[in-house]
Amino acid sequence: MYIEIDSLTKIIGGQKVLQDINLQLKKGVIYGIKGKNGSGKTMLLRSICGLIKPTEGTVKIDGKLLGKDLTFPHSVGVLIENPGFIVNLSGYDNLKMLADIKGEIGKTEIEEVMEQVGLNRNDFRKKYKTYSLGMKQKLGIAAAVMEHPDLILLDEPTNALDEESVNRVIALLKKEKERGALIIIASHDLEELNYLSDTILVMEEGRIKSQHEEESD
Amino acid sequence: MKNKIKLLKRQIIYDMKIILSFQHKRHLIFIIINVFLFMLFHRKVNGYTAILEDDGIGFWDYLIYIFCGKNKMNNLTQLDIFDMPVEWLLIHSYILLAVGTYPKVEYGERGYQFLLRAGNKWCWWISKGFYIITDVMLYYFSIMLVALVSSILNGTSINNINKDILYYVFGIDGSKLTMNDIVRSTVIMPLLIIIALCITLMFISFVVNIMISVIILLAYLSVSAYWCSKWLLGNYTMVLRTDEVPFVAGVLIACGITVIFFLWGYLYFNQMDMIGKQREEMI
Repeated sequence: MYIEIDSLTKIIGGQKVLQDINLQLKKGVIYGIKGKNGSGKTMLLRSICGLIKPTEGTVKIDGKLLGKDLTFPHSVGVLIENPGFIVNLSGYDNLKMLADIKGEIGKTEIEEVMEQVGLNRNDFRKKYKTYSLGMKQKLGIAAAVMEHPDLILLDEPTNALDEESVNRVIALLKKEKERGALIIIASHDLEELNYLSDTILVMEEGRIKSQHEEESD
Repeated sequence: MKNKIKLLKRQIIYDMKIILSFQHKRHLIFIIINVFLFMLFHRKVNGYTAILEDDGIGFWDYLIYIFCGKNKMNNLTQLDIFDMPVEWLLIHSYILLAVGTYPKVEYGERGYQFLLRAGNKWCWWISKGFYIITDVMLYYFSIMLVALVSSILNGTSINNINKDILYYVFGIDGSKLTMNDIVRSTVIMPLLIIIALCITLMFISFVVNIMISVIILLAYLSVSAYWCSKWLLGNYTMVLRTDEVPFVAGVLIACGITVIFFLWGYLYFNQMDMIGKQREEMI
C-alpha cells in the first residue's frame, strides 16, 4: 500500500482544519502524528480513510484517487474517537457483527485478537456496557486490526490503557507492521509515539510542522 | 457486482439483527401502549351498553379506533376548541421516533466502522431503507396482533364490523363505509404513509439533525389533523376522512415521497463528510 497526499486542505464550518498537507506514506512503516487537541490529527486520519472529502488537493491510495476511483480504501481498520459498540451486546458479539460484514474472519480469529489486546476469556461474553474504559479501548483496537487490513489508523490508541496493555498493543502493532501494514497513529503523547513509530509527523493548526524518522530499536 | 450484493445482504442482516437484539424493547413498549389504548377503547364503548349486548368489539373496530382520526375541520371560531386525535397521533409519532431516527443514530455511533468495511455508501443507505420498511411493518403488525388477540378474547368474529360502534362511538355512518374503505385507511395507507414519513425523517435528520427532523415531522402530522388536504399525508390514515382525500392520489404521493427522499437522501449522504459526533456538536 502506498498513500500519496497532495496539497490537502479541508475547511469545515469556515475553519481550515487541514492546510496544504503533502505526504507520501508507504507500507511496513508506523507513522506517528503528534499534535495538541484541535491540531488536525483526527481530521487527517479521516481524510486518509475517505470519511471526509478534501476541499482542495487529493489523497491517492495505490495510485487511485480517493473520493473518485475509490469511496474508501479497500482494506482499512480504524479506531477514531469512540469505538461506538452496541452496549447490550458482548464484546465478542460486537466484533462478530463487524466481522460478518466482510465475512473474512471467524470465531477463532476474533478470539485470538481479543486475547492479543489483553482481554480475558471471561470478558469475551460480558456485555459491552459492563466493560471498563480500558477494556472498551482494547476492544476498539481489536476491531481495527482483527481483519489484518493493509492500512491501520488509530487515534489515541493507548488512552486508558495500563502499562501491560500498552506493551501488548505495541507488540501487536509491530507484528502488523512486519506483515506489511501501513500504520498511522495519532497521539498527543510524544513519548509513546517515539517508542512506537518509525516516522513522526508533528501537526500544528492543521499543518505538518515537521517530519522526522526515529531510530529503529 | 456479486460481491456488492453479498455486502448489501450482510448489511441488511446486520440491521435485522439490530431490530431483534437491540430494538425489541421498543416493540414491547409499543405493544403495551396498544393494549392500554384498547383498554381505553373498551371503557369508552362500555358507556354504550346496548352496543356490547349485540356484537361486541371486533378486530376491525380496534383498527378503526386507532386510525379513526378526526372529522374535517371547518373554519374554527375563537369559541371552538381544536382537539387532537390523541391515539392517532401517538401511534404515528411513536413509530416515527422509533424507526425514522435509527439510521442517523446508527451512523453517528457505528456508521464509519460499517461503511469502511462495506467499502461504499450505497450499500449502507439501501440497507437502511430496508430497515425502515421492515420495522414499520413489524410495528404495524404488532397493532394488528394486539387487535386480533383482543378480538379473540372478546369472542367476536374477525370479519365483523360493529355498525353501532361505528355510529355511536366514531360518528361514522356504517352504510356508507365499505370494507374496501376500511382496509385502505387502516391498513394500506398507514403502512405507505408511515414508511414515507420515516424516509423523510431519515433524510431531514442527515441534512439538519435528529431533533429538528422530529419536530418538523410531528408539526406536519399535527397540521394534517387540522387541515384537510391531499398534500398533508396524515389525512390518508384517518377513516373519518376517507371521502375527503382520494386513495389513488394518496398512494402515488406516498410512493413518490418515499422514492424522492430516498434518492435525494442518498445523493446528499454520498457527498457528506463524516466529521464525527464531537466536531458536529462544535459546529
